[in-house]
Amino acid sequence: MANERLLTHVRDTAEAILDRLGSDGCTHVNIIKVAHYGTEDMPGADRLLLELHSGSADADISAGESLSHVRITLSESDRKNIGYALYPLGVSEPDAVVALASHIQDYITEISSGQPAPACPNHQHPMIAEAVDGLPVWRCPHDATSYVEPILGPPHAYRS
Amino acid sequence: MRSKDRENGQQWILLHSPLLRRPGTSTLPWGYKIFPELGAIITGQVAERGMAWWQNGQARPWNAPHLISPDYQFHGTLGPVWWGDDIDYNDFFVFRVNVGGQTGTASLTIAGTVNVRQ
Repeated sequence: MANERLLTHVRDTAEAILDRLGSDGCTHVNIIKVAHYGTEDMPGADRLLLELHSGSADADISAGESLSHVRITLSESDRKNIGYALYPLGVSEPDAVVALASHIQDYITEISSGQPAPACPNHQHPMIAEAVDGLPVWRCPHDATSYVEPILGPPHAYRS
Repeated sequence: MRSKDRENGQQWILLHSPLLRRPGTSTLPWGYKIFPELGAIITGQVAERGMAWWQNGQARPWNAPHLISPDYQFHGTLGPVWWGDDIDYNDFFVFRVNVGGQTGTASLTIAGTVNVRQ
């Protein structure tokens, strides 16, 4: 996938997830930036890493080759509470969507002081993101048969 | 379940034992706090790269990065994992410090291995 198309795809995916979570989280979240991400792109740390003279300071403790990621910078409407979510590359699309959805859910949970999003309709606790049979879904964490819904609705078809 | 951080001796604590969701699968929630003595010399916010992890040697998606106060409870979840998995992890933090009036930039790495066994 060409770079610009990839970033657009990631933004569209994040917006689709936010559309679903925003209503339950009782908050409106904006996407400020979508860009490739690595250690050298750590939030606010560019200058700090330069001062350390070590753009890959973690390389020596790496347990192996790592994945590449796209970072989505999020904020509430007045640019307060900046947060980040990652879309991993090099994994299946469902796994990437699950990872991104989990990060966005975590961000919304923190800025909404624990509001369950998305709330399980049967129990009112937060659902968890998981790939089930190759489909990324929100599901009840206690009873897989209780409630399941696709993380991305039908209009958001997967693209390879 | 605890994992001794091999970089700096800090305890990196798994908040829960693996929670069975389906037979044989679970997640590993983790949490980490910068110890107060270090937090006291940090000026400004801490940049966290995001927890990287490997499952039986295979790279898995990172947890989310943060730019946040030093007293933040850094946390995340690794999963799904299976009984018998060998999990390697590392995270990387960068921040400004003031030590006795002298300022500078410092980094902190946490890393270790968890063997998921019944």
